[in-house]
Amino acid sequence: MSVKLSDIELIDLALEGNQGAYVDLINRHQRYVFTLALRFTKNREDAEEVAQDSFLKAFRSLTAFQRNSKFTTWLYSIVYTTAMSKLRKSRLDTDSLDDVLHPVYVENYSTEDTSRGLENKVQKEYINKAIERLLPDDGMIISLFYLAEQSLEEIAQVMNMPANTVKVKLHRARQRLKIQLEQLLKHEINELL
Amino acid sequence: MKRITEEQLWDYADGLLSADEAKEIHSLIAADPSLQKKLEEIKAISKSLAEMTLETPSVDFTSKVISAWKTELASPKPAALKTIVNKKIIYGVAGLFVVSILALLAYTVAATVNVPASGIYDLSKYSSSLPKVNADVIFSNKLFYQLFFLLDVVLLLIFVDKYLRVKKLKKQYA
Repeated sequence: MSVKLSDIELIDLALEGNQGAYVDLINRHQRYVFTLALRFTKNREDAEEVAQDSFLKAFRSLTAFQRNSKFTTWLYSIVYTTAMSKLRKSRLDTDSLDDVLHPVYVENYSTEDTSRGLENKVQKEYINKAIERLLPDDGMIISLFYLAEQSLEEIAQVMNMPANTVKVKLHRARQRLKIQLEQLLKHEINELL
Repeated sequence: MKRITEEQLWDYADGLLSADEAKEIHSLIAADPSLQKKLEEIKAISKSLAEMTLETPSVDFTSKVISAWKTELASPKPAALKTIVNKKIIYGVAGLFVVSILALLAYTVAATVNVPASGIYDLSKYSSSLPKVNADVIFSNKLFYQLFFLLDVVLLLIFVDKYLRVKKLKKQYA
């Protein structure tokens, strides 16, 4: 039975100069790091560059890693800042979070259109497509919360903002995701008709 | 009847509510089949979000990162920042100051003191003309202390600035 080392154990080995530990850290986290980078860059080439830069930055500052938080939280914060820098350089419009989203009461709210037609594999496919269409911050928050299983406090640490702000942003991101899903489904239904 | 927002339903599904809030929402949902249905729909989307497909980078991603890391380790770290100004210029300026001060001092002494034939100076005749300095007046002067304090503050700021710069550089090249 193979024993899986924890991130901290791998970090200790890496700091001792063990090359294999670096490889293991990359292999273990590369898909999450790449996915988060892709939420920002929207193209694989740039996402790979961001992911690579993030790992190199993390390795460079491995000694500075405070072990009072999860390694992933720390690593994702590096991904976030690296991706943001890349995005700023690309001069892309990243922030449209100023628009106000009003609370939707359940009487007026319908997930039926979005979830009823979505079953298993198809549902996942549509959700992936909808996520790709989201703004970088929205895609990042949803991915961190649902996919990377980071708590609101951890996301706050990653994105360097208060947990309450993250909660509001998560809610807005969900609403925008729902809008994207509805648009995708309408488009598909129109195609079928 | 209290209305439930979409946000509350999502938060309930994701376990983000406090115990009291969750209890309240739970009782409202239990009493309303339409809310139960909507909660199920939200849970289904939450589940799909949690099962999103992770993207995979290129096959040689790991080797590319490791190769870049090895290159970085092999390349020498940048040396500590060298002074941009040539040291000879600094020494030259310092020397000029010293020479100027010495020349000024020599000129002042030569202009005010006549060397007696015996070669021995009798300073007693000057003592009466020397200004009398009252140390008590100086040390009881508020301005003196303010200037002294200001000097301390400036020195402290210079020291802190230097310390932070060194710390930043160390971090940069760590």
